[in-house]
Amino acid sequence: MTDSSIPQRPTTQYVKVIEPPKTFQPLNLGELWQQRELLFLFTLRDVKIRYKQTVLGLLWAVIQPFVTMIVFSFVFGRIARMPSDGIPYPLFSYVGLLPWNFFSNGLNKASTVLVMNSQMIRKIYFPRLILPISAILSGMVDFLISFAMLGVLYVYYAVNTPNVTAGLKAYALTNPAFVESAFKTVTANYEITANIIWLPVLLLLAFLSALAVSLWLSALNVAFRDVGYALNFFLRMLLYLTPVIYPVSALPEGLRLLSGLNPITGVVEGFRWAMLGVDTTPPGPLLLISTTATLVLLVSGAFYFRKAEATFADLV
Amino acid sequence: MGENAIEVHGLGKKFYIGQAEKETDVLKTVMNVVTGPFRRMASLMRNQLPEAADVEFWAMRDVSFEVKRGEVFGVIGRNGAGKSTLLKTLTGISAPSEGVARIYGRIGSLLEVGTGFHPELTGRENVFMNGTLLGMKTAEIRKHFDEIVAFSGVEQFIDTPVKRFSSGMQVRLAFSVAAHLDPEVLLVDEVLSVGDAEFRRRSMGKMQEVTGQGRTVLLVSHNMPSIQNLCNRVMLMDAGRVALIDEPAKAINEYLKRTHSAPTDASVDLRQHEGRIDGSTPTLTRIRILNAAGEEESALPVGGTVKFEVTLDVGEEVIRNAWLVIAVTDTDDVRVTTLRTLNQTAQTLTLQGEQKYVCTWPDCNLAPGEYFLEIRLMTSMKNGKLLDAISRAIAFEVFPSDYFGAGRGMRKGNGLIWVKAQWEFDPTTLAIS
Repeated sequence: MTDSSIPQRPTTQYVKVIEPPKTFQPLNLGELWQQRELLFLFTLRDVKIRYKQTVLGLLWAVIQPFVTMIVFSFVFGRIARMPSDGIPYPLFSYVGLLPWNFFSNGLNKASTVLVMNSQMIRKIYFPRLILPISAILSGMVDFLISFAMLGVLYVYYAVNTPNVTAGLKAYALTNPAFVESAFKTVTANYEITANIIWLPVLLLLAFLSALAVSLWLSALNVAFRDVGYALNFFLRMLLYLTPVIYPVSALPEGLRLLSGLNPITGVVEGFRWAMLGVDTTPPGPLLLISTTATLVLLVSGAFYFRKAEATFADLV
Repeated sequence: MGENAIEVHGLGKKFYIGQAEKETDVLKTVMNVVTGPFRRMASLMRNQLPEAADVEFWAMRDVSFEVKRGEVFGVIGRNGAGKSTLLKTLTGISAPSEGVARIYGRIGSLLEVGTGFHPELTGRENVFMNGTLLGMKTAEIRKHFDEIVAFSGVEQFIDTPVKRFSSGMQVRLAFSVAAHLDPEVLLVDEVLSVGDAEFRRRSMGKMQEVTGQGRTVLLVSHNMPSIQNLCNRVMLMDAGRVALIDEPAKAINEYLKRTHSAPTDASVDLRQHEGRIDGSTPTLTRIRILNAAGEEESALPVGGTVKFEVTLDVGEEVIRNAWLVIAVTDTDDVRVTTLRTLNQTAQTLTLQGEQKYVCTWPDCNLAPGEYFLEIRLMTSMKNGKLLDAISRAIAFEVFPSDYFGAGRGMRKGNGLIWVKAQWEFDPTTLAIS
């Protein structure tokens, strides 16, 4: 094997074997980890170009959920008198919209990401999984900004608790000490409590559920562009199947746990539980079902994606 | 010989190509659109990709070869010969249908310059993005960043979005990133032909530098001078299969032979030749074009050696004071030069029976293209001077080569001959660049 006439390079530890795809192509997560810099750069690129040449820029991340919240509050809160577990409807729907928007925006971006980057796919090799992952991750920035907006809502509802007068309100909003105590009031009213520490876990679940569905959709979209047409429709339908406008507690008893099969349902309910202390339906079993659904979709999606990956460059 | 860097065994790639349906009239077209969804869903149920027809097409098959560590291996072939498919398979972009390939070493691939460049990002951001895509670590890019930018010559604009760049600037920046790749095995496709002349010269220099470092390179190109110049061995692909693997000159020669629609015969029987000029006596019997080794070969590189072998038969009679003329003309019937025994040897020929005359042209510096020979046999005896004459008796081909040793040849418009001229440069040119 070794030959002293070639001293300049040591025998390499890198061996790449190229073979026809197997039925169960290994996921090769190690390679994904090796290329984490690329994942980071892709995500960064998406964030950078997302609001290029717009006037409002990142404000769009706030405007979208905020306007949706207003419309929902009017239509479902005011007109339809949807129950909201005793929480002011705007606050209720906004907290639900946060993970939902992250999920649906992520899905929108990730399911088309392979087709959008067809040029790259045809000309260069990198783990294709990076594309849908970064597409969803880049939505994290939007999420964090709209999440910050939630703080403003909190203050508003704290100030609007029945026993505060108008004069005091005006004074209160200019006083940082009050803003701080307002949070405490909200905490008291809607029990943010210690549940909030579960937020990162819930966010991770939101990410995984978006990824799980995206793996299927993005890979399918390469061969069947029907996905692009179906997606908007699918998301609109899914919104009604997700407890964003209504609480799970409004569902008939028998349907409550069944609704957990929707991977994002558990996350949305979990968010309310973590942020507002809603406890009419303990999200435990619901979250468990949703998480299981997510994991099943995620693992099967990852294997499907890896298998389909072999033909991406030929079909895209 | 060292160890192998690339081993390929029986690699093949199959595609299914759809047969276009003939849509004869409007009604049929509309009906197709209407029934299409049902037909396609039906084929899905049968577990087939819709539209994917049953016609198999092997873009590449039975491809086997080995590349030694440190070798520069060229792949040539006409369009659709399977070169790109091979490269895409080796890089992992698309999976093979059969066979196996092993690549030992850190792989860098370069199928196109500027892949992943985003118009909205600045030059700097794109350098990092593109470099990482090509397999560099961020730390490596940071280390070479100044070099990369200096090589591209776009320093001033590095923080400007690349959509404001001219296309030339984009290409230069992209190539600079690629040129600073440091893999053990480099897979390259046709990237030397980008940018303006000056930049191409520098890229070529960089490429030579890269290949000189003991790195293994697999280079797919249509640019014969660069193949000839850079490669140790060359594989010729034809219709998805390996036609031959040989030293560059031979492979290129074979390639050029195959790419010509009507391969020119290196040996032509002249007895019944339709180019015979009226009034001649059929005396010339055969013309052969030979290479330096004396083998029949109707194509040669610029600067190669070519031999014209004329066979004639005058019968029993002795003909004195004869001379043989071979006129070389190009496709526009412009006479390029004349080879004449009388003037070039100061001797006359004495003809009797069957004879063979060979004219050797060493260092044939004709510009690439197709040329014809007009052959005349003359004598000052007899009444007329002309014994036999045939115009366009045979054709031969001159193909580009690295005649000047500079890595690039000249274009057709540059004249009919290539001259190895000596240049003396003003010393400041080196000082400045």
